[in-house]
Amino acid sequence: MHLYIYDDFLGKSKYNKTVNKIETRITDLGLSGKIIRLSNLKNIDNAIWSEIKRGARTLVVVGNDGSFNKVLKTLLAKEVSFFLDEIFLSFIPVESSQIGLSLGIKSYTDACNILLARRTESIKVAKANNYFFLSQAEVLLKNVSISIEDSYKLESSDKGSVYIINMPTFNISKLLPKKIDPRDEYLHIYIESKGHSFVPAKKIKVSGADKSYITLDNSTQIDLPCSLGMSGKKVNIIVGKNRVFL
Amino acid sequence: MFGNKDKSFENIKDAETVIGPAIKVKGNFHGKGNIIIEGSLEGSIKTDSSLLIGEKAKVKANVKAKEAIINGSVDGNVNIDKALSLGKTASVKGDVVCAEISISQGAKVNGNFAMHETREEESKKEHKNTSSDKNNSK
Repeated sequence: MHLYIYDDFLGKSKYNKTVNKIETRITDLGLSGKIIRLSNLKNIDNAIWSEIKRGARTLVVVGNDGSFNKVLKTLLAKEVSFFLDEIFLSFIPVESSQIGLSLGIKSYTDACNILLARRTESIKVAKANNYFFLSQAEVLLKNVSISIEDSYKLESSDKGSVYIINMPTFNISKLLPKKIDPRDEYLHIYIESKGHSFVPAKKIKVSGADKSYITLDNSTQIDLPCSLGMSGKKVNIIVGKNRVFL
Repeated sequence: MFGNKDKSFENIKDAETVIGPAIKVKGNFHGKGNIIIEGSLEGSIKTDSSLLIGEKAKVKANVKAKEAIINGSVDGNVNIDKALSLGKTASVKGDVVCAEISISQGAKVNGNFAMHETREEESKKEHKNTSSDKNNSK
């Protein structure tokens, strides 16, 4: 059974037309299912958990990168993770989405066809402190110190950006010297500054000045210092054939 | 990027790790796969694969790798299992140990050189010795 999870911002009138088009397309493809709206829910975890107990096995997030990250967090919660092998996560982005492009989903129309084709990949999920992320973490380079495997540090006084990547976004994937496989045990540090740097690592700690933060999956900001690595969990995701990873 | 046409180093382009010119590395840098250093490094560096130290790189470290191209400056001992190539802009302050070496005009080395046999040659020799021992015992 398909469960469609609409983010609260879709309640705004400017999204009415898009939501209608998505619903029509889903009906045409015979993929209808139950819809829950995050705006009506005080507790997202409980709502999704109760639908999973009722038999929902394909969860379709309709929203943006932040919506996807919220549902991912719920899926990895203790109760739900018991069913994790049986659950498939899909994404219908309603606006420009880095995660969508990583998964090979260019638009919401494309997303409906991808949901029908049901090509799946099991992707390992990364963790930053107590937060999960699927795609990448981003922090400004200047005055941060990146400790790797507790054995060496990367530092720079230059301006630039640091991306700690599990599954690269579309824009970053074009710059990388090689393709990244989000099914492996490594995160990859990509530094865009004067020249490029690229370092695979399993255990990373990013420290910085007061009030510095790191952004996860283009949506969640957490304060530094921050320890990053693989979470040991993986999720089944429905992907497009033009996904950016191996 | 580095203009080295030596075929044995062709795979360095597929580097697993690249340290760009803006980056300083401090500590024991034991990289995975081929490594390219274009920034600065203090501590030690080790890989079982190839290492390329770029023209503007500054390395204050003991270096250990399977094979290496050095075009920048190294302040430390260099221990290479197979081939070492010192480019015209290379500067090494330390002892150098390797199996094969190529030195371009202009490269500077302040230290001792020692050549050793590659692992393949060593194992061939061991194999020969074992076979001749067997023949002698017959």
